[in-house]
Amino acid sequence: MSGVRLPLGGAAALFWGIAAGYPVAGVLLALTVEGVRAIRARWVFERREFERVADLASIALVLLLGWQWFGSRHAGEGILATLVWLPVVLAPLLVMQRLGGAGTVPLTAFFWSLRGAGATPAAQVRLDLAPTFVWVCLLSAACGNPRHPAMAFAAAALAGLLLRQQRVSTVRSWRFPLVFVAALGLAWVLQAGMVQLQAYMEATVMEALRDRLANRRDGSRTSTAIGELGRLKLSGRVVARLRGTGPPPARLRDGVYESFAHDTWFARQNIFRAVPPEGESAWRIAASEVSGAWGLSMWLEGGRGVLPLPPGTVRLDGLNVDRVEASTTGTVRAVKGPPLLAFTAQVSRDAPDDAMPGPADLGVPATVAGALDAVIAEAALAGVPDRERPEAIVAFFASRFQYTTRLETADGRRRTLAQFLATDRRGHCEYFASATTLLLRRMGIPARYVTGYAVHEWSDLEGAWVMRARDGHAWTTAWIDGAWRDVDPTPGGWIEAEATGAPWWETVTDPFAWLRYRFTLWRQGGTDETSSMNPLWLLLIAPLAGWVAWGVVRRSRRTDAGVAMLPVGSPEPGIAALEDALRRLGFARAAASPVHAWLPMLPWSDAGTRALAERVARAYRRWRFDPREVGEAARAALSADAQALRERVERGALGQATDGVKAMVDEGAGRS
Amino acid sequence: MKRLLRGFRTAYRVSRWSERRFTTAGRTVAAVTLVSGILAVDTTRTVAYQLFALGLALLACAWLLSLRWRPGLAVVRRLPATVTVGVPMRYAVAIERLPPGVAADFAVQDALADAFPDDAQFHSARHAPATNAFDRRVGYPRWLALLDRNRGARIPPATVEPADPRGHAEAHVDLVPLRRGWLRFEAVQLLRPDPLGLVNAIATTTAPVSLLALPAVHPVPSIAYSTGRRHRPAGALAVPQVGDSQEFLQLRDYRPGDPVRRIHWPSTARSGRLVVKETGEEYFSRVGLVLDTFAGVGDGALLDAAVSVAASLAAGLRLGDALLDVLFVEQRIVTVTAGRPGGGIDGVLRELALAGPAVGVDFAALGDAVRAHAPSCAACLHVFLAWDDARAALVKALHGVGLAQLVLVVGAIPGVRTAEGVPLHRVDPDDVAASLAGMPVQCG
Repeated sequence: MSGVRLPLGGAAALFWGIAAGYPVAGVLLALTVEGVRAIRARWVFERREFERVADLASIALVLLLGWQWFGSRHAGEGILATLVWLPVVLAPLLVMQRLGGAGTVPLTAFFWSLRGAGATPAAQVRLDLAPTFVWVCLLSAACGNPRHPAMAFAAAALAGLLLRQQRVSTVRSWRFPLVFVAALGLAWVLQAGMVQLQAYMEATVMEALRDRLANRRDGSRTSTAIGELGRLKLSGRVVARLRGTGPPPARLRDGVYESFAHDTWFARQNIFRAVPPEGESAWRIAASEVSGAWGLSMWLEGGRGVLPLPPGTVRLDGLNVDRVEASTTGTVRAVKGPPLLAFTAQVSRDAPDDAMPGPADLGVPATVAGALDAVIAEAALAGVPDRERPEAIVAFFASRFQYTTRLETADGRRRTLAQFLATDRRGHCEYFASATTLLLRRMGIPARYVTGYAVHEWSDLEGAWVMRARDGHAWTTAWIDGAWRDVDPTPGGWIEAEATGAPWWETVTDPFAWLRYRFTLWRQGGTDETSSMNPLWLLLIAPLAGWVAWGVVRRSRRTDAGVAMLPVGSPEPGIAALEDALRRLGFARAAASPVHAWLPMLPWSDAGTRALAERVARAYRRWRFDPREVGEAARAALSADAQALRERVERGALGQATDGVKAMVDEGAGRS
Repeated sequence: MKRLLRGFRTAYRVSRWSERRFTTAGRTVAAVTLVSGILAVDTTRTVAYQLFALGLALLACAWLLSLRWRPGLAVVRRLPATVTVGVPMRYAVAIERLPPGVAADFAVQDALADAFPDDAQFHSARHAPATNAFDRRVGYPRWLALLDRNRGARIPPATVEPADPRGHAEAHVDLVPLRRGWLRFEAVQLLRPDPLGLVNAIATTTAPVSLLALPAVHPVPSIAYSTGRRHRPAGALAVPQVGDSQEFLQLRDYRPGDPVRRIHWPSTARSGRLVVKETGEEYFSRVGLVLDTFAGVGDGALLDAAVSVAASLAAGLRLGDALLDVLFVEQRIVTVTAGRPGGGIDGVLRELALAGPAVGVDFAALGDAVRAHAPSCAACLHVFLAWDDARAALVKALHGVGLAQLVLVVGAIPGVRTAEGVPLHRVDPDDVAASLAGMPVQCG
């Protein structure tokens, strides 16, 4: 392999220094690896000398790893910090290569397993270290986590220049830039996909963990993500579907909690009571008069869980579970059911309110009391009437706080609700809902923390409102004027902010999720009563049906081609007319008699006509068997012979046809 | 052991595949992609995922462009008749139908059939000195060395010269045969790097052919032996005019038992009855070379050393007008004669190239054959694989009939043994050349 002609080693070292945050080291490294080129003298280095230098570099690497390991917070950080310095470790060998006469480094320097007396031929292999050095610089620079797009472009440019220099000169030169640009485009798509994939995977795992840890399935508590750093990951998985006429409820509620401790809300006073069934699969939660209905379907993980329901739900129809329980705060949970629940929630305007507030609905943790008082003072909430306080808090948050799902801090430590109120002033819905609940309580207004889903996304494909995991929401319900009133303090725009993190492949996975939903519904034998066949189904089915239809057509074409005796453009060679002429004379061909067998057996009056008939029969058989192979000239000859024979038939070339002869002819032809 | 060897085979196949499929630059990119892929697990901690994506995209594009390549070329190997173990040789691979005057954008990779070492071979090789601790503990380098030896050579890729105006070009392939016997050439592969220079497109031409590798020949000193002419019955038709050639006596009528080749066809045609030529008897000086092929299982290297010693002696003896009779045993006694009247030394080397270990025959059979042959010989050179009572008895018996002998033992000579005044010399199987350089020059 040819060496690197451009000073790419130096350029890579400079790039490494800038990207990794060690510009001085980068400049020194670049000067070293390129400076030795100026030295004209060359030394002869033995294999063992390369091996010794490589060993020293390895020892240095191990020491560096130890140093970084013990100085880091965790092992991964130490390894990354060590990898950042790889170019410096590798540089002595590159300098040796450039000062040495051979211009290469023996492979034994890197692989201890190849060393030793009488080594294998693989041990004789030598390596040009210059390209490897460039790639190592790029790798080490990447470990320094440079996020500026210019760094990515510079790295791509270095890689491109390096590959161009290494390219075999005989390859046509115009192809290289074309292919390289195509590869860059693909790389861009890949790296964007990787970022989204990681977010998606983390969201899925975190969601599963949170579900499990929060024990959200029984409505007794819910862990919040308050204090977590980084991006709040929630996936785009569809968890529930809502169907019905009219404007949908803004939110579906699945839990109400009153005690806050250690960033977790508890429903300690929640007492669940079994809901008596009405008939086969109907459950009446309250006796109020029904004023509307919503079709709901949702996945029931593990066979049990709380049900996100529209406000005022008084009756559940078509819910095939063993037991339904409802709490005094309005949380409803299902026990022992199929994986997919599809039922109708009957709602009432006169539904009874949740349980009256108690002492727990006024509790405020001491750790956050100071921060709450500071906010009350800052927002001048003390002078606001009780009924207007929720709106005042919402307005205060909207003006002074910012919604975000990503929290980063310089010290890398967990945040608290107090810090959210006092300093950070950024957070997601759990921060706002928790803070609002506690603020109201601090001012003497009973309040509870509520969880559920925001209803905002209409799916044309499904003909329903869909709720994804990222639509999970938290808000507050406050006891104002003798009734519970929902207060959503999260600043507007949070839905759009959540949607920006949606992966691009959601448009692909959604139809599959829908198919899975429909299939599961069908398998469970259930019906989605409120849903109607959406014409957008055709978007899914049509390509599939088209593909199947095309396959059928193509197969049928193949079959047709296999059995078709008459190729397009090759007319029938006059045998039909001959047959007609014979039939008129009483020599009709039996259906089971092939023409080639029937024709020679007719009672021809002379040998010449018989020979002609035999020739026609043979040629016709060939043409009939493989018209393409016979060719146009032979077909024309057959046509001429058939016409000549017909003319002879019409001139009386056949003897008297008796019934016995005809029977014999037919019988013989049938056997042949 | 079997699992280990299976692992070696897999590792070797993967390694060979990557060597052929990827260029050096491609392997570097693949390695960087692999490492950055590991580091890319967390896209927030490093930007290695960007490097991983770049490497993967480069390799994917290169791979895509290397998938379909039908060059439509004719490839022919131009091999010599024979090669010699240890002697570097060069042969040409001719390529036809190239665009005239254009430098080929591909390399030629010829290949010999792989013959993986079996359990017994690898087990016996484990006793051989290891190159390093990795070799000692794992054994992969030794397994590779055995594979190279079984295969017969390691063939590097060769570049193709620019085509001449007729579209003909050649690639010159260098190889050093590592073992004697047939070298089985398999398919020739043409490796063309993609425009990025990372992945090779491979076009394979199946062209199986065999090439005979003669045993390694080393210089030997001139050996002195007493020339005594012995009767060689039946004449030597090969050299009718010079020296001790056949002497024409008369024509006579055919008698039952006369060899057909003695029939004198012109006289037969003229007379209408079978007439034969009668020749005088001849006398040649003969030297015997006895090769001991009684090697145990796993002693292939020892046998190869012995064959190399025998080949060196056969090639290095100054025979003059004498004949050389080489005797060894495979499944039966094999005798090959070389020398001016008996044919060139090439025939002997070809026989020795293919000589295998004795199977189903004991040493006594060889002893009997040598004793029977001894009266016609002036001297006898023995190349033994061991020195024991049976071999000593044979030497003693031949010494008893006054035959000058020289004994070379390949390998160790246990204990203090004598050879009845016959020079006894040990040949180090790992350094045959040096051992032969120091061998005795006088038969005793």
